[in-house]
Amino acid sequence: MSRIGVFICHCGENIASTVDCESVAKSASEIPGVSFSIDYKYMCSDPGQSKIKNAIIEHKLNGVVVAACSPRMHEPTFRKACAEAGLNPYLCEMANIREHCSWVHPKGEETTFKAFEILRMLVEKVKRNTKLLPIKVPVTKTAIVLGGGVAGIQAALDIANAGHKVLMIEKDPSIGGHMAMLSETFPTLDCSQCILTPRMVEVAQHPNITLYNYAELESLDGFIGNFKARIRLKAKSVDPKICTACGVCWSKCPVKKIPDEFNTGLSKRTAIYVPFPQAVPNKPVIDRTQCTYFVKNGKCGVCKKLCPASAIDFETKDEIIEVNAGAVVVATGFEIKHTDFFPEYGYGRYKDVIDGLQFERLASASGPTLGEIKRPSDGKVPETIVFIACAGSRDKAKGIEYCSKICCMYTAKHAMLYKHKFHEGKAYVFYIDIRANGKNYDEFVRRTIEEDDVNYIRGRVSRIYESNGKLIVKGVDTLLNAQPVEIEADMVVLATAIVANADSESVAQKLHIGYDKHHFLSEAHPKLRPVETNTGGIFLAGACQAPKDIPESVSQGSAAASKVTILFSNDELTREPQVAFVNRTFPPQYSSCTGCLLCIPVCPYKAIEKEEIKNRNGEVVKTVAYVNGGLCQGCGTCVAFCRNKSIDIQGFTNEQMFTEVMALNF
Amino acid sequence: MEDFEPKLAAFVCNWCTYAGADLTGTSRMKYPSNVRILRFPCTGRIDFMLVMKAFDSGVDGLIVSGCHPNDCHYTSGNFHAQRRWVVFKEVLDIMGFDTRRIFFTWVSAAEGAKWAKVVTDAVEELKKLGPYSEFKKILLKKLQFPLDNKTADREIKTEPVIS
Amino acid sequence: MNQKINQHIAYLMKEKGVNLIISQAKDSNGFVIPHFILSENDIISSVIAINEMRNFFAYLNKQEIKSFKSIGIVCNYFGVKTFFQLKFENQLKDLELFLLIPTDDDFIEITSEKQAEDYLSGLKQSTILVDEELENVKKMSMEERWNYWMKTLELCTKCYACRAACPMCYCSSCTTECNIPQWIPVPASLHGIFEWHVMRAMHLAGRCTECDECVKVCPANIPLNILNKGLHNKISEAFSSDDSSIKYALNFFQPDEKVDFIK
Repeated sequence: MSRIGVFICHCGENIASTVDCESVAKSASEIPGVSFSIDYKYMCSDPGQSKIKNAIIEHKLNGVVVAACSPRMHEPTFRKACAEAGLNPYLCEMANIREHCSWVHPKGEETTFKAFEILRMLVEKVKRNTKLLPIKVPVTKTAIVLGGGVAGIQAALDIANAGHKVLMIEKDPSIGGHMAMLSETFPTLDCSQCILTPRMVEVAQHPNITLYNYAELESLDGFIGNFKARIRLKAKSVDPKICTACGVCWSKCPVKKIPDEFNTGLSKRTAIYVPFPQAVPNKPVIDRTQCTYFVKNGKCGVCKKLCPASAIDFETKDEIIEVNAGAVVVATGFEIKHTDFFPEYGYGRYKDVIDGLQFERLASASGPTLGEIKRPSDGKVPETIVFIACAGSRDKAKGIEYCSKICCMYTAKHAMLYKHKFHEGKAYVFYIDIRANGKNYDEFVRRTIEEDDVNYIRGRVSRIYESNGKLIVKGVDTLLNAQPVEIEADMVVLATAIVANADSESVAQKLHIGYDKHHFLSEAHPKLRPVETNTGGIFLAGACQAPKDIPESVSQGSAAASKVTILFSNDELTREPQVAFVNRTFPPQYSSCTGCLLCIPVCPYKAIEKEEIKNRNGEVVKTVAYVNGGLCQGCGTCVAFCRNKSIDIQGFTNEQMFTEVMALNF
Repeated sequence: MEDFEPKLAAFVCNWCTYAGADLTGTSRMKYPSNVRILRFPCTGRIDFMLVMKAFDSGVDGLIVSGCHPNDCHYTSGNFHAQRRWVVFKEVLDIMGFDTRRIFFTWVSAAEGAKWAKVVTDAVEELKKLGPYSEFKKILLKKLQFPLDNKTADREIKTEPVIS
Repeated sequence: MNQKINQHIAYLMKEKGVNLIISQAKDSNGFVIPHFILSENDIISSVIAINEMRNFFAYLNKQEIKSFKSIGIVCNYFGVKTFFQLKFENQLKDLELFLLIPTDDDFIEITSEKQAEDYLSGLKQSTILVDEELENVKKMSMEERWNYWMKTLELCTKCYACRAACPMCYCSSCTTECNIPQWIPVPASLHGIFEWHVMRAMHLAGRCTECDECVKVCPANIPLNILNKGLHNKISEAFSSDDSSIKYALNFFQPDEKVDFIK
């Protein structure tokens, strides 16, 4: 027998000005099953809530409908009030008579009638509500940090310092990411490696952090608090435990002509290598795609013969390990477009047209030129350099409409560094707009222009071609009536667009998280949930989400870490019980589900799996679908999909929705 | 038919259209009061059977609305719903059901004005179409026995097989 | 059935441990009915043209039949199509099946999905008759169509023969049997009939093998194949961008898919 309590809120004048709340309360008391009905000025206020609590106790209510504002606003408030009075919170529903009624219709009988009708439908629904218990799932207090760039490092250190275990997965032989490649950082010009390498060492030495370098995430299953990851540890061919990093192997390796990725191809490396001197961990690996031993079937083996510690083993294989984790921080970083992306700038044919990252290596004290700015073609110091900002970015024709965000700043920095190193040199910057919106950023750009005498030209470069050993840069100056500009340069630096990693789509699919049309990973909400993804327990940090500079990446790393530690602050997670379930009946049917399993691909969360129902002898009697309540987010797509209604969803059951629809009763 | 007030129900998803309708309210826009809004977790949850049931309960028209493609809170519920509506609309069309009375729309949480327009337009359209008396007729109609045998003599036309 | 099939049936029963063959025969009215062969003595020779043959796969969804485990079934093209679809929907687990398809004076035996796929890919189904009927219905105005169907459906008694004969309607408890809530009204009133037929068509959309069993068994001769065919056409037209590996259009979608009638 239903004993529903109906509470109608005036919301001050917000509802009462167009709806006759008193008459609604009176009519509501006549709905079968309603045993208490009252209207009040502010239902959400303390006295209002006590009215609900008292009525629940006094009238032994087994259902509550609050006719007030949107449930998106106050449903938690009223459900909590019900719980405090001992009523299961899920027996409380809200009828939205403010946003959907009083505010959108004029005062009058019709509006009052509509308010009553909305209320009546909810009364019918609440009669079919059942007591639900929040779902509790245990939490594995280990976090996976995917990517060892500055964002990942920050997240890993913060989580580890909060006392939780961290597994860091880095695909390269060393952590450090793009930041390790930079020369100096804007706007303070402190040396990138000087500030980063101590952090890298800290990661390696932290008792709570396990570092899997030269490793990749193979797959991720499970759900928030309970992920299962498979990690592929790529064969290093060198046992890092025995290796002393003495350097004999890489100094004797005969394969010496491999373009060095760390130096962006500006120098060469060997097949057995440490990416850079400050690498963490500082142990070499063998690049099997280049090593003679692997390419030519067992010939060579010089490093193995010479290794004093006998650390080299050609036989090691990729190893796959399985780990459990409660949360994942995705910090997979970005890529940049290379010069070959730009037909108008020579398709990468001209050696002295380089990208921003290459300039960083040239300017870096540990780079191939030891910090001297030299042309890649002939090693001469360039007397004129042209910097082109927005190379690719903000260009719809190139498919990159967005702003890459950091180029304005690093271009100013590049020009400044060049002028500092070579005072007589001439630097030109072609730009569209200067976006210097960070702390001390605009001052930095102004300094470049005013103090270091860098020539800023507002306009675009249409073409670059080579002539007599010079690069002819043709462009326009839009501030000078679009006059054509032609500069004879010795070197051109393109601030090429930042793009998502080539494999970011497949990473997103592995993690079951969303990505935007440029393949950057999607946050759950652009404003209010910037580090969370739509999948619970997976967080984003750094430029895998969108182009970011170092301070932003670091703050997002810390933000993601704080989200992880919040998640880890409880031993159990409590979730709303709005989840789907497959019905179970007694034998011989066991379940009305026929096991067609066509619902499995429908679930966006991969929460539906196959389940075998066994009898007492352990024989499989039926194969049916099973909804994993931990993974289910409660969209109900499977419910509508199931042909014979074997799946239902708590809170929006077939019975409830059916009754609500039939209660339309026009 | 001038004073005919159509009866309109709206099946909306919780995250976009319900919130969009909330926004209509918050911005105090006005629309006809003929509509009753039913909240579903996602358009994917909206069972075509419930759509039929709405007409059972006597509505003249129905709005089905959710998040725009790619904006689904549950990433893909609306895509599955979309395919379902394509097929469902075709069944109804073949059966001669008046599908002009079902208004499929996407209204995002930011489109308060669009929601007001959707409802206003739907009510206007339904006023033009009038009450759905053809359907209401079958709601009341009980079958007469014995059946008229003449029509049962239809020739069976099934396919010959394959070549 | 021709000599060779009968010989093979005997062989299957003797050597392969097949303990049930669902064959086909004609009753005294000339109506094609299933003929269950439980032992070699049951083998009869009856002549049924391949186009007259029916699709008795619905029997395979019954627990009593399933318990035979190793079953032979005489069928035509549609049987093979059904076999393929049922396999995809995980329905023929633990069954060892031998599909026997009579040809002019020989037969084809199919036991695996791979063979079924090869067989199906070599054949094309003719749909002229139902296409014509569908075309006729589509040519009518909306009111005419509604009246046409209401007049036709008035004859339906909701005997559910269409459901019983349909090999794809294998749910052990159908939505029509669900009474909390009562989705399909029990009384034989027109709107309940309408809802049942819409639901049946929706549930078969994208899965129907177009064997027309539902039409063959309908005592009221309701042309359900028009609905089936209509949805089949719609799915192949609307979701034509799906590649052929997609076996069920409704649990799949293409990224950025748009539908014009959703505004």
